[in-house]
Amino acid sequence: MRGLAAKLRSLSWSLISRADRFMNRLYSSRFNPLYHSGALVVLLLLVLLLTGLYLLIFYRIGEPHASVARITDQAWLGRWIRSLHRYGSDAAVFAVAIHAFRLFAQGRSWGPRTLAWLSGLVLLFVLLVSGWTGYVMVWDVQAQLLAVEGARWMDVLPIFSEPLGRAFVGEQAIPSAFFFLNLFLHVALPVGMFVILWIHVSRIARPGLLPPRGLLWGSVGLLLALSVLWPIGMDPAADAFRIPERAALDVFYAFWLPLTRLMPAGAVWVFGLSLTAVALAAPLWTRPAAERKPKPSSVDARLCTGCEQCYLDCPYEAITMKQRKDGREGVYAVVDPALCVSCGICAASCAPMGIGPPGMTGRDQLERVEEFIRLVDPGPREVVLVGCARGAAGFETLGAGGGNGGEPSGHIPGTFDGSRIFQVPCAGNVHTSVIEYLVRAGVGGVLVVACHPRDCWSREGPRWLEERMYHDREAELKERVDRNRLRVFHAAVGEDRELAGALADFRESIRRLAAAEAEAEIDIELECEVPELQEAGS
Amino acid sequence: MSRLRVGLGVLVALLMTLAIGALSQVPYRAESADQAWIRLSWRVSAPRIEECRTLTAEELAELPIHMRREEVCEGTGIPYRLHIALNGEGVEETLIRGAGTRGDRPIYVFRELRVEPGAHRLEISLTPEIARDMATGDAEMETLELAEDLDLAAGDVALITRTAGGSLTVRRAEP
Repeated sequence: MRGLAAKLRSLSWSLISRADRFMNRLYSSRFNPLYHSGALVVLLLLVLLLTGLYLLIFYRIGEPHASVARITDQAWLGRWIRSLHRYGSDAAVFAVAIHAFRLFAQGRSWGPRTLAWLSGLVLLFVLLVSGWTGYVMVWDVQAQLLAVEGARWMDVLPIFSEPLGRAFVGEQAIPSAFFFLNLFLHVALPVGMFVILWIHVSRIARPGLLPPRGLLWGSVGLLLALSVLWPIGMDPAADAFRIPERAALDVFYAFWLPLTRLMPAGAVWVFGLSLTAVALAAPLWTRPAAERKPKPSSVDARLCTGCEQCYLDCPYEAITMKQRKDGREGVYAVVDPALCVSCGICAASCAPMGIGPPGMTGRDQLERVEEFIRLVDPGPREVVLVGCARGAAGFETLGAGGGNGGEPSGHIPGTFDGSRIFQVPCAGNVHTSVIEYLVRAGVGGVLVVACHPRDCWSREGPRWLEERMYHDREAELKERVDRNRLRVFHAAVGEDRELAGALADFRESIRRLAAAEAEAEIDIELECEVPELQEAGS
Repeated sequence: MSRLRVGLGVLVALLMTLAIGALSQVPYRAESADQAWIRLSWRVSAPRIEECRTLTAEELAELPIHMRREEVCEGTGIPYRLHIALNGEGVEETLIRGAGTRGDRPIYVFRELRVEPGAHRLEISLTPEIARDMATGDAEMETLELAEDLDLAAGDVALITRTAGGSLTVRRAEP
């Protein structure tokens, strides 16, 4: 099962990383919509909430189709808002699908992330059911097909003494209570979605709930333009005495309809429940084997100064500060292993190197970099890459979930375009002492290759890296380290061309720096004194 | 960013937006309107038949105090036989029992027949199926029957249901 899951993940990751590269080239990593799929869902839910409030004012449960037709006939606001509501909901399903697929491909669906995975699935389910009720509200041909199909599924369950489907055959007028219940669900479910959304992000310290402004207005603007230029029309009203021959089907919400109508209701339940069970069980079948599972961070209380930086930096709120009990005053950090994803960001935020997952603490990194220098012995003009395992300079981009991303001891480091790579599990895990060590060891330059900030598998690695390198965030890179010999570059898997360009540029910069230093070393006075001495001698 | 890249970015965004618009309203042919449907949908409150007997003093003594009822009744709803014939040919012959674990919930009929458009002779009967040894007492037994000539156009749905008076009737789309 794990082998199959790994293959599936590998394939998914290959697809996603290609799409990422393409989108990065088009929109830059900052505005790549694939990096913001989760935030786009929140944005679209807000759009649905606002447009839905307007539609609610004009909707009548006593005349569902006629009232929606009246809204659609409002040539300006009503038609556009209804269309925006519809297209926004479609885009929301699309964004949720991408978000889930992305996290599955990155192996972020198990362990401490299980709650987010499960609540995300519940969100998707509620979104689909909410959409179902929305379509039934219109009570056109598509609504009739959806209602009849839903009733057919329910009728196979031994809980109703009479078939629900009889409600839709025209024996009696459909009671207003049905449309009231439907409307109630259509309003209540989205409200519930915001609660589930809160649970979904509850284990994240600083969730990015909205996309950057450009992407935000761009997305809303495009959907609005679509609504104006291609507004949603009205299908004929549902009629129990005419065969519902044709309908305009919304593939995002009713993609299953053509398939399930061919299946017996019992088979639909078996198929649907099986699919649901597989998705819900993903945290079990996507987790790595016990021996490959990364170990959570641990704290060496003797070294902890109680500065709280790891507590502030942890993207998953896995660290709390507790009162010391060892006779010393103050607090010390405690890691909750159930919340720790072993990203190692805390290791880089600790100046005394007292915290981090086994093998990833600052001290472990220093040991590794010492060995790296011994093995590689880089020259004074050589650039060393410090690369995130999941980025362009990673050896094994699918190492996530297994191992800690670092090379095994004694392993000959890999190269990129002739430069040696010192690999780390996340750029945010790189302790600044490692950079200092490399520079002081005589390396020409250090190019840290991080993932794009919104694509960090540990959420905030690149952000904290930059802060520590250039903005004096605690555990900062010391002033004595020449910043000219250091550069940070963001490149995702496969962005080799971009990385090669950045590397060439940095090499050129190091070459110029070396030339300038060589020039500065010339003792001008001595050079000038020589002729004088010669003159005096003569 | 080169102009080409910006143009390509705008183009891809437009195509994705258009794809959302297109997938939001895909023409779907759910059913063939070359046919016509006859739907049967109604319910009958099937009378309940019970056999009651008085418990002996010994039987009562064996029961806990709170369960000592002198008369116990066991019963069920009467099953009905549904017969449907279309153009003189039997289409269905089914024994229908009331829903529920005791079979005493109302009986319902919910069927759909798909037929070619044109004239059809429809005969339906729903009659109580009383076994010889069944003690029906004074229960009222309803028998429902319908024999009707239907002229159905393509795409029409005819509904066979009950009137307020309880007899079977045909309902069609209002002209």
